[in-house]
Amino acid sequence: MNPKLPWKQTWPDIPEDVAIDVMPASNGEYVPKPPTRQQLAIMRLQDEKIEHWRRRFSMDRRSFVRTAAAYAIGIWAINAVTAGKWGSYAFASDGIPGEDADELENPGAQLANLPGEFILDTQGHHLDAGGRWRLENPGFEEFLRLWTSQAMGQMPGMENGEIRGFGFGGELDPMENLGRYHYFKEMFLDSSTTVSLLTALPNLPDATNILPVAYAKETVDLANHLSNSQRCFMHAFAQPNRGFIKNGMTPIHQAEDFAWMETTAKNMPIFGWKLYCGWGDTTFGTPPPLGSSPPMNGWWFDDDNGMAIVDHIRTICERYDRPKVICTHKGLAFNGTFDSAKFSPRDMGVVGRQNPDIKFYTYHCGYDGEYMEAYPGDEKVNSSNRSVDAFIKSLRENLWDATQFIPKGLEHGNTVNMYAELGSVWWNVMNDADQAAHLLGKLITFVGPERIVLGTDCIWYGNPQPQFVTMRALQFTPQAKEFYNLPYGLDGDRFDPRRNALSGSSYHGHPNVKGWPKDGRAHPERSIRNGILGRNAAKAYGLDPDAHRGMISGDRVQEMRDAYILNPMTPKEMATFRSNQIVGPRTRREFWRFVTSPDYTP
Amino acid sequence: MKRISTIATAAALLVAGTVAPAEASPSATAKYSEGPSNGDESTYHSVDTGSGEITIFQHNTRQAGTVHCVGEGPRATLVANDVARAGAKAVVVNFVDAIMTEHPVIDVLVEGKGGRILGHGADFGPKYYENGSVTAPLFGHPKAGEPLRILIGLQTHAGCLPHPFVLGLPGSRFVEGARVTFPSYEIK
Repeated sequence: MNPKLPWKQTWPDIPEDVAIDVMPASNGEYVPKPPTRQQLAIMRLQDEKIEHWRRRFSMDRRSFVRTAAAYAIGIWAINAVTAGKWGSYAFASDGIPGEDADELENPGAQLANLPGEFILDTQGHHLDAGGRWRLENPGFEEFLRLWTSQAMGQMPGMENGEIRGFGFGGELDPMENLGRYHYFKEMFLDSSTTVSLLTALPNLPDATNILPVAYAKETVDLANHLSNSQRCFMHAFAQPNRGFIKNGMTPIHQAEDFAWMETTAKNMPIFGWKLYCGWGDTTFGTPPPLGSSPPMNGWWFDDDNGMAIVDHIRTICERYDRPKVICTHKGLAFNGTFDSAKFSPRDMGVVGRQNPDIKFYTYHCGYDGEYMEAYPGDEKVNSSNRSVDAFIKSLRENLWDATQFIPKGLEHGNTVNMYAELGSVWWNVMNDADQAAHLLGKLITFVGPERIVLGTDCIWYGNPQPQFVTMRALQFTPQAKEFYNLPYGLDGDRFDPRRNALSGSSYHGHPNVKGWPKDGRAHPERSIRNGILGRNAAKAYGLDPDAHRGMISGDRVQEMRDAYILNPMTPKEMATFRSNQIVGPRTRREFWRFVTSPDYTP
Repeated sequence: MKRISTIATAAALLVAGTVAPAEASPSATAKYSEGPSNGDESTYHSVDTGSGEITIFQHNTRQAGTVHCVGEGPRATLVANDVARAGAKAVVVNFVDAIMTEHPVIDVLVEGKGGRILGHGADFGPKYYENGSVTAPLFGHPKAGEPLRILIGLQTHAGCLPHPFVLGLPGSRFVEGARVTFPSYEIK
């Protein structure tokens, strides 16, 4: 009999969720879908196989679901249910899908990076759980509580005679689930992320933002200090329409906001600006008779506000030697809140052509929940919709899509300055191999193999690892390879996708590509897949993907938690284990509970 | 209440056409045919190839609880076929009596031989019986004598009704609509 210990465990048991949870979730910018029969089938298969194998290995379930084998089972289950005419999932470089979950030793499921792999997550999030915004904008807190199951996915209560906090982090303060500690834990300890881009959230003035720039910089500095290398960098938020009254009038706060932007560019290590075209200023609005009521004053890149802010960003970036990068949310309509029409990507082609010296990242690629199929053609697409096809149409109608820039002797091109960012899009389609193949196939064709970047939208979705594992495993079927002219699928060389990056025979020089290797060795770092996972973004942001990067110590991150534990309101310990849990709200009811709150404000 | 009455008035103007345009231009100089159109069950569109008038309308009565806000916004186009002259730099499309809520877009797309896109231009709502023009610069440099297909259209996004408990927040409008007449265009 074990001796009775003088203390009791006061932290909750770590969960037993499957490694790749494909059930609906939201990053808070849309209502989660009801689960499909496919998703339910995938979860059931995973559950059965996990039980089978963990018993066979005499492991408890909590431990087994944290192994690479559990990821392999997840991929196998997705493939078993969804592999179809266009896509399938397999880890093997030969592209043969696994036929049983027995292939448990799979390199694609591991936390360590694969050959040539550099993962730059272009959409990382967390918030300042102790920020001023919680006093001045309590409605936003309500929003976030229901936005993200990381914050509120489980209700508090007594558990084994002890108090348990909110959400999947189990914090007494729900917002702490979305704070810096969990960001570090999920991103740097429990996933394959090499570098994380901490992007900005909308709200000005900055002091009331849920992630003020100074606080974001602390996170960046901490990550880079802990690793003694570059592991994190950041965006800042800009809002050109604060104080907007009507077209033709300069917004009331423009001078103040532009001055703040300049100060930020001067004093902060800003690598780009995050914009939300549909983010209105609810104080003002276009006047009647046919204008706004209630106020709605989002903006387009090709209206006065949009052009003014692009010019300003160019000016201050040149003045303070910052990368000229503009990132904007396009797609995901926020379900009836915000000025959702302005989340249409119709203006991306316009602004890209007008400003070839600036790099534009279209976050979410315009996606708003549509079923992913092949691009249907210009004649059939309304560029004012929110969809990946609308984004492509916007590029095409402005002669700014990749097909306009195909170098001589090649068959694939890249847009000059337009990047497709996969945040939430990949999360939503990765559970269906056919949809995943169409998404990437048409983006490679019309945006370019060097212009697609993977953002995960985590920590809202919890741990990003399932998104990396599925990206590692996606294979194009022969039909998809032929349709998209990608004979090696995502293993093709992104500088000429007709060559196989995983074969040494591809590298004996190239008549049309400068610097093509001649060493006769495989170059996995040149694959389209590894471009999407991080090397494309690294090039755009001027990072060296092959620079040595130090480890971040779990113990050092735990020190952050130790400091937090000293807070008498949070008397509980946490171990640094991958949570295996999804952050976004899982049901419509969760999402809408907050909007009935009387003090809601976006 | 005022809000609802304003929107209802706008809807009546757009759909029923009970109020005559201030300066109607029935004698369009351009020859049009009907072009591609889109729209789901929440939308309406019509084109009059004789006068060059396009109408789009959308009632956003889908509940916001629908997933994302998936749908097909209204889009309707007129097509004019022409021939490029040497050194053509732009197509300028004139419009009159434009009445638009804030989100519809006047969209002009110019295609050349084999559907090759040559140029694009746009203008936005809101407009209240305005006259003006949209310029579509020809980035694609058409060759002299190259056939041109000019698509002149109105389009907007797929909208969803805001959640009933949060009416008063920004969001998709209850209705979106536009009616614009395009009497002529010029190739410059």
